[in-house]
Formats: sequence, C-alpha cells, structure tokens
Amino acid sequence: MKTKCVLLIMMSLILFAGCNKEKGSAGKIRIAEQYGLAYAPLQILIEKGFLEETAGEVEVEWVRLGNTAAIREAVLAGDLDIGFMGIPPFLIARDKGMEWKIATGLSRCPLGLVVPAGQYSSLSDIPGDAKIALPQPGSIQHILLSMALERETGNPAALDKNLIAMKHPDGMNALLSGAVSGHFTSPPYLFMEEEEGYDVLVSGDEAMGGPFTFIAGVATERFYNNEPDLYKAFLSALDKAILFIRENRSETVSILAEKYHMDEKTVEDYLYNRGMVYDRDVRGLDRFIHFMSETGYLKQAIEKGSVSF
Amino acid sequence: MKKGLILMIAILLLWQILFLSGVFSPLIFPSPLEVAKSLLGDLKTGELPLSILFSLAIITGSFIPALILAFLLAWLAFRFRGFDPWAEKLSALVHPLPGIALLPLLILWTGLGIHIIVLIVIHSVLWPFYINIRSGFQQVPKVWLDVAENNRLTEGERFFSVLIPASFPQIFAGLKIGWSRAWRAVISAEMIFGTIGSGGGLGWFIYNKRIFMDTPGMYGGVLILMFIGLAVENLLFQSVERRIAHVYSQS
Repeated sequence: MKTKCVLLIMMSLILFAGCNKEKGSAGKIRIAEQYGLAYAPLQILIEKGFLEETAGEVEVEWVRLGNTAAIREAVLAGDLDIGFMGIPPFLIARDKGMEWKIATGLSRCPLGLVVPAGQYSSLSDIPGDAKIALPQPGSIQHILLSMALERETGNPAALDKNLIAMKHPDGMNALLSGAVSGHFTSPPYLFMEEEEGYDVLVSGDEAMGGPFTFIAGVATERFYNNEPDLYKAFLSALDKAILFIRENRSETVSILAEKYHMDEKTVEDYLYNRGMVYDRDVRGLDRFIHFMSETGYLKQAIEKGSVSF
Repeated sequence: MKKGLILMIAILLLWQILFLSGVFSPLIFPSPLEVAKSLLGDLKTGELPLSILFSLAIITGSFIPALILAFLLAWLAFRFRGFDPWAEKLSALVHPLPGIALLPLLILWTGLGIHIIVLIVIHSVLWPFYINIRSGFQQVPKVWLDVAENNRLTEGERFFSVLIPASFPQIFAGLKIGWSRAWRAVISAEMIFGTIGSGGGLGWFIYNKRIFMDTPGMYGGVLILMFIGLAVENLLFQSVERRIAHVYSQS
C-alpha cells in the first residue's frame, strides 16, 4: 500500500512536470485587461481591429481578469504576454523577481476617497471606528491613501485598521447603504458616487502631489525579446486607439456604451468631461517607487530605468 | 500514524528534488526550506498565530449557536409532527446554497462586520447537522419512546436520556461533517471578506500572501490549513469515536 501510494504520487508529479506550458508561440499575443473606463483604449483597439492592422497576420487572445493577482499568476503560468494594471501591484511583483517591465502608460484618471457630503473636512476627522472600503491592500488606491495619510498625519498606516477589502461595485453599495464611511475608488464608480451626492475628500492627484499614470501596460521580458515586431505593432495599435478616442467622439461613445451597458450620454460625459486622460506617458513612477520603498512594500532597491522598457 | 509520517517525508523529499530540478520558477514553486522559513517568520511576528486564533474563535462562536439551532429544529420537527415536513422542505431549499453566495445579501441586510463570517459559518453547519440529527431521531426505536412515556419521563428527560443517546452515532457523524463544512466556510469567507489592517483569520492570511506575491507564505498557509484539519480529526474526533464505539458495541 505504502509503495503504491508513493509511486502514485511520483507519477502524478512527473505528469504534472510534463505539462509545463510552452511559453508563448510565434505570431501570437496574449493580453489581459481588467474592467473599467480606464481601459477604454483597449476596447477600441479590439473593436476596430487596430492590432490586426499594424501587425498583419497575428493571433490575439484577450483575457479579462478580476484583479492584478490573477494577472500575475497567469503570467507566471506562462499564459500571458501583456497585462494592464496599476503601477503599485506591478512594482510589488517586480520586487519579488517577476521578469516583466512597463511597456506603456494607458490612462490617467481621477481617483479619490469618497465620503458622505459634509461629514469630514480632512482625513484626521475620520473616527477610529469608521470603515473604509478599497479594492485590496497594496492596490493603487491603498498606496494613494497611505500617501495622503503620511502627508497629513505623518503615519501612512494611520487608517489601516479601518480598511476593508471590497471590489469597486461592492464598495459602492456599502458606501450608499452607510455600511462604510468612505470608499477609495476609481471611475465610473467615483462618478456615480459623486452623482449620488457624495464628496471626494482626497483626490488621487492631491494624495500623490501631482499627476500619475493610473493604468499601465506591462510586458514580459520574454515577449519583448522574442517578439520585438509584435511588441512594436501592439504599441502603435495602442497609439491608433488613443488617437481614435480623441478624434472620433461619437463612434467611440457608441462602441463603449455598448461594451459597458451604459447610455451614450453618460459615457460621453464620463469619457470627455471628467478628467480622463488617455496617453502612453508613464507618470509618477519615481514617486511610487520611492514611497513604496520607504513604507516597506518594496524590499529591493529598484531603479526607475530598470522597470520599464 | 507511522504510515502518515513516511508519506509526509516522501512528499517533502520529492518536493525538494522537484525544486532542485529547476523545472518551475521559485515564484511558482518555492523550496520546502523557504516555506518553513517563512512559516517560522510569520509565527514569530505573531501574524500567523493571530490568524489561526481568529479563525478558530469564529468557528467556536458559530458552531455552538448552529448546534443549538439544529437541535431545536430537529426536536421541534420530532415533537410536532406537523412541523416536520416544513422543516424538511426548508432545509432542502436552503442547504444547497453556498454560504459565499449569501455574502452580498448578508452585507446588504446586516451591514459590514465579522458577524458576516459568523453567519456564513452558521449557515454551512446548521443544515447538514440538522439533517443528521433528524435522521438520528427518526431511527430511535419506538419501544424506547414508549417505555419513556410509560415511565412518565419529562420532556427534558426524554430528550437527554433517550433521544440523544439513542441517536448519538448520527449526531456524531453530523458533528464531523459540520466541522469540515465550518472549516471550509470560514476560510473561504475570510478570503473574500478581509479587513486589511487588523487581522482576518487564516483565509485572509493566505489571500494577503497572494496579493503581495509571497509564494512561500502562501504555501505555508495552506500547510497550516491541512495541519489543523488533521489535528482536529486525529485528536478530537478519533478519540471520541473510539470511546463511542466501545459503548455502542456493548449495547
């Protein structure tokens, strides 16, 4: 019995080792995105077929994943070439030794800590038993809140005991029902909450002390080295999509309204009047690295130049 | 016990060999040594013991009310025959619902807090436990109940001296199922419902390790899960089972 057991385990391990995936095949690009207005250029890029235009014959595989941890795991498993995410979770993975770098910025947008109108005038007003919802520890929302707290109270972890990890839609429900007293979130949830009469107590830009890239595109070093043409083609397709959003308002709005199941008027307002910026610059990387090293999120010394292509 | 030990050593050896072979990146598959190191580190900082205590406290706090509720339901169904089909239908409707599916509803109804996890655990223990008690009660020989009635036992005496001892094997099976359901429910609820700063149990411990890409820590958390499951099974249930088997083989 004993030997049989051991044999069985050995065999299954060997089998398991055998299915180590083939890492990316030629002429194929696998891209992961998440959900939200900040990813709009990717929707346009898919819908208009820009990548097929710039890269010719290419097999494109799009995956939508719920959070950055899932993207990182898929990359580790050899299932992805490019992923889109906030800078802090990218840096955490880079710090742990993941072989990937920032390829491009995608969007800047208004983030902020939303609270009931008139309730608090500053972060120090938030009482010790209040609860604040945000996506997860180490997320860009969490880092921004820590930055604002450090500036105002000197202690970046001052509210950590009050934080509850919730996905954006759940966080919004919790805020509207009064279950939490604050929600650090991003569009469209930020806009919807403002429309419900809630206030932004601290904006992302205030927390950061300047503009910053919200979502960046991250590529594996393997993909960058093995598929240089495809890599370039993807970036120029992204350029086209960003240009398209600027120049073809009505078509952009109708594509996105369908994708997001929202009416066109709202999409147009959210996209063009509320401070969403789509461009490929990467901003604020230095500040993120500096702050996250100081607060212990990053253990190794990371140079700005070494984390982007 | 000896077999289990040999199996464990064999697995550890294989693990180390597989790690040394370098087939997998250490970010996917860390060495056992690294996992042990990170476990020790988390034990020292108090993060791990606190998480374990948190989860065990939640289980204790929800297990007992769930048991009382299940007994109450089963007794009512037993005592008042008209109530039985209703209780039966209710459990058939609600039992298959995964506790996690109730999480958003529970938050809407009752607000945020640790009580959410408690409610989910109660839900996942209550129904299987009730079903077991009910079938235990139904199998109590009618003669015993008649004897109890003829001797004018009070309701309480009948419950504690006839019903419970007579259906103990089923109740015990229910306890075992209830424990494993509770353990699973508490871990998965914690993984979804996390408090970031102030500890959130073993499920949150593992989830947090995932978020910060601490792979050895993640493996450590899963090992602790296995270890606690094994410990409860071995220390608690097996010893009770031996004792019961002894009693019931005499009757």
